[in-house]
Amino acid sequence: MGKIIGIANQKGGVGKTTSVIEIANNLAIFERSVLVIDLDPQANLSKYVDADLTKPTIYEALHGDVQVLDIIQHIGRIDVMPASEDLSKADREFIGIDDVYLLSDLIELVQDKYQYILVDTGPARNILLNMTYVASDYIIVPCVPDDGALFGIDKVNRDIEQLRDGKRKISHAKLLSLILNNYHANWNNDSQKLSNIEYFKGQIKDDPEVYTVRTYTGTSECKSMKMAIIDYDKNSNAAIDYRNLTYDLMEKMEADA
Amino acid sequence: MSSARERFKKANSFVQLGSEANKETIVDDIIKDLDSTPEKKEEKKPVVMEAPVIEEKPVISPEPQKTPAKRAPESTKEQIRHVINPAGRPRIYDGGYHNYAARLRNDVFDYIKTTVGEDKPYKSINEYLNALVLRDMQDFK
Repeated sequence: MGKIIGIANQKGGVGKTTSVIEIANNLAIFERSVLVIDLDPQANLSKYVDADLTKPTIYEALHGDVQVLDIIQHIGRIDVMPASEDLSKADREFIGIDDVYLLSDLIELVQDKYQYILVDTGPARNILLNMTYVASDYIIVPCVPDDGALFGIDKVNRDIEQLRDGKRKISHAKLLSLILNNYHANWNNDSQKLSNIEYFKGQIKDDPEVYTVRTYTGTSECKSMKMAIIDYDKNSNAAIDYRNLTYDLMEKMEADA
Repeated sequence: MSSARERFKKANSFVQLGSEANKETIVDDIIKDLDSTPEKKEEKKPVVMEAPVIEEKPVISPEPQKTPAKRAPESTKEQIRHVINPAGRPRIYDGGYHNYAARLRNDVFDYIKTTVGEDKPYKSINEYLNALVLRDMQDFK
């Protein structure tokens, strides 16, 4: 059965989509079968990988208008379920008490076909994020070294604890890792933020791993070329860091099984 | 069950699900079809999605990796070279100093504990490493 990893942070611009793309591609390079689900109404990941957005998307699948297998697109090394901007209506349309299980139901249909299923979320606290928390086995929180980093991590941690350990136990997710993107090793500010995060992680029950990904100025170029950093510049610091942290996380998750 | 969830399950009812209850429903429907239309036996085949056997495969990188191996090499001097530079300062290790240098230090410490034994003359890894650096600095150049 595939492992389900949600990538979440309510703060925007922290590298969620980039992290999903890089981790997914590296897992595929390590010969694992990977499915990526884009659950972001902005559909950044779907545009980044150049998915065909004229075909049915996960919005139609969640509504039951198409079958789940019909929306999967094979792009490069990975399979993708693309998003649609109609997902912005999710909060108004998925209002039933059981709708939070829709993503779990969807993933259950394909879980046997993949070893890893990654879910990219948007920077908003909505029903789609709740669906991700409910469906996921693990949560990864990307952040950047600024003042809002700890707030973002704390919010995700509290949401998971509430859904997992609160009155209505509907989640079994575990906070697996914190990824500090755009990291400059020789900047005092970034070192201080890293120290703060490492101190804070000690207060998190799940004891997540902290990884740093050094800054890479070519990220925008990669997006324009519709390429992952690992393909565009495999010897860059960011590519090396993503490769190493993916291998580490993969070992940890496979040891958990 | 909410209407959205009901709609979703109905739309995907012919996709093989993990639960046994749904499997039985699909098989019953197929048997009914086979009994009623024998000439269509070849067309109506249940789609069985078996769980693939996940084998432990060795990690094969398509291209040679620039980063050094995660585990420290065998000889102590080789190990120490990866952890500290000739000036005695921690070496920046490809892949993020915080994680991998720390782990290599632990690997070296374990190696020293097992090779030097309980009666090691040094109280800590730093003391041992400093002594090695001062004594053998030319070996690291």
